[in-house]
Amino acid sequence: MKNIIIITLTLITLINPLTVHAIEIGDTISPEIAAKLNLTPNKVAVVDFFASWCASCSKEIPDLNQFHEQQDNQNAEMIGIGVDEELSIGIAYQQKLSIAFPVHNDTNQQIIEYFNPLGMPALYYIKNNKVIGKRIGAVDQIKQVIKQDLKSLAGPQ
Amino acid sequence: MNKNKPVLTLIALSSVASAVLPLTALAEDKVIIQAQTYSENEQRIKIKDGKVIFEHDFGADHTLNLEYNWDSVTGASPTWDSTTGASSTVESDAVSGPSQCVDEDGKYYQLCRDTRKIDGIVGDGHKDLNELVYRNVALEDFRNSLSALYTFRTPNARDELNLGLSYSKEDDFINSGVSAEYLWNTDSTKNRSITFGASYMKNEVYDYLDKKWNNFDLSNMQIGITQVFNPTLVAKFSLYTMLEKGHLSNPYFNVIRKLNVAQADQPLYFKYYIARDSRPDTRKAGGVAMQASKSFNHDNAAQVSYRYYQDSWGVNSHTADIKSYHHLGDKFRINPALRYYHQSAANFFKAHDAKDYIFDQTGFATADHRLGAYHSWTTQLGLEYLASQATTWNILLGRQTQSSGLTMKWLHFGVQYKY
Amino acid sequence: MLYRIKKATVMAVVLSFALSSCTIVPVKPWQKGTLAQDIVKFGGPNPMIKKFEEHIYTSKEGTKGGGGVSGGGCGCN
Repeated sequence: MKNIIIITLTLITLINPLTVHAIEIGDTISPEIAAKLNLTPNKVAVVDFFASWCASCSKEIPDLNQFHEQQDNQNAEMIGIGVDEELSIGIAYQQKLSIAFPVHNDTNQQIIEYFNPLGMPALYYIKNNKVIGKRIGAVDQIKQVIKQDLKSLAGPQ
Repeated sequence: MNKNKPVLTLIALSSVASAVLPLTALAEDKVIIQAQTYSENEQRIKIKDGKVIFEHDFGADHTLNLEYNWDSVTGASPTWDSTTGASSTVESDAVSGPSQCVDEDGKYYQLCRDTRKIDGIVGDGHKDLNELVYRNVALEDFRNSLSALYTFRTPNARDELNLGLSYSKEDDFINSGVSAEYLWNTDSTKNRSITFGASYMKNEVYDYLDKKWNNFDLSNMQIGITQVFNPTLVAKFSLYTMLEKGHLSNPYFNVIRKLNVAQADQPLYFKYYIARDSRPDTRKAGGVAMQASKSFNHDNAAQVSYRYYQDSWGVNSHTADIKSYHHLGDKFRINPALRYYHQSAANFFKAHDAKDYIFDQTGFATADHRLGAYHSWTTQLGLEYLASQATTWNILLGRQTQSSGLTMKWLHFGVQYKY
Repeated sequence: MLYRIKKATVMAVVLSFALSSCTIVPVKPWQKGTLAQDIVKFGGPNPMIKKFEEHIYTSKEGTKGGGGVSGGGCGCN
């Protein structure tokens, strides 16, 4: 047991932790990125980063599709960012899941690198180029969560 | 041991040996149907084996994996027996149990002490070693098993908790197990994780001679660290310990013991007896395991692994394995593999063909070749047909050659459907 | 026995140092597409094949273990 602890601690100590600078709530995104996202002024953009290899992303997409098709909130829009490096794989995946919302294929991964999320999938709420909320990692019942988030985000504004 | 008698699959393939925790769910809904045929040389064991696996995600945080397994074992397995007993169509020495002293020209009767009182001795004993033979005895058995694995992922850190249950049943062997495993992502980008796992298995084995059920249990603990080194390399390092306690002797294996059957005040008079396999009631084991997976490009990847094992019975082993995957166009993938295994013998093992294969009256004793020293090479070649994004067909051929002379070959085939 | 345990521990420490001295390049979540491929996952594309293999090995060999903790993948999800 002593040996196990020594070796584990050794490994943990030797491996340096990451330092990450990510886009946070309250940050304003650069005009170039905003242009790529094609955001509509005064609307809350629900921006979701996904990839074909990300199983949790695939779990969320049908819910996001439903949100896009059912949402009656005229003040919000759904935008997808596919981060597959191979365009053909990304498009085949989007077709397979019948993604109905607009998708920007970030094949050179510039946009996601700019946002620098800590996990995938990553979802950001952006209004007038300002990040007003985010959800990083898989979220259960994402459609309901987005609706609640939008409601609470709309409250104080 | 006659053919109608249910025979413990400890000799062949049994879940008791699979002291492993279930595989972690992969978060993809799927159904897998897989079948296997397995056979050994020298008219030994043949197995047919089928599995059905169902895996389903409930939302993003919960996954359930259910597995049903069925297998049938036929053929024969070698052990020590007497030529007289084994040639009988009724039962062998190993089945009839010890008898009282038998008159042998008047002389032996005078000397004889009652061998029935000596634990583990069966049969009447033989003056001539040629009356004892290491030979195949027939076996036949069926097994059904069920297992379930539930995975919960924590909402933010995406740590994983896996809880498993398993149960398997044969006529003369029942195994039930529980397991728990926790995967802790130690950094926010999940490039490193530490896994803690523990399992407990309870086993009940029917002893056909003593006509009673014996128990033994197995506890297993593991700790592993996984590190992503770069976008194409991930490696895992694990330490594990195991503790087996209870009746660990195998009721279907025999040895030969040399006994002085004369009473204390008489001159020495030796006879050779079939005796039951006898092992310590505790086995402590542990070791290290490492594996690495490397992608060379989109179509080619390889995995290597190494394991070191040692236990309180004096057995240690080294296992090295390399496997690779290669896409051939869009529809096919091949998977060659090579594995080397080397183990030392338990300190109470004597091979049936060794110079010295006879045990004294007392002490632990086994002739189970799986506790002997040997090495083996395993080669495998798998082929997959990627019929669609959802459906993959597979076929795999494997062969193992042991330095002891045993060779095994197997064929797997099946289909995996992701939905 | 004691000698063997010490030997195994020394070997384990050496191997862990060797592994950890490999260059670790921090991998971003969106750069894990390769590691998430079926053929790179520990256990391979079909985990059942590995289960069959393990079943054969553990029941025909005198030693076992070490393969159980199979969590700890690439952190792709």
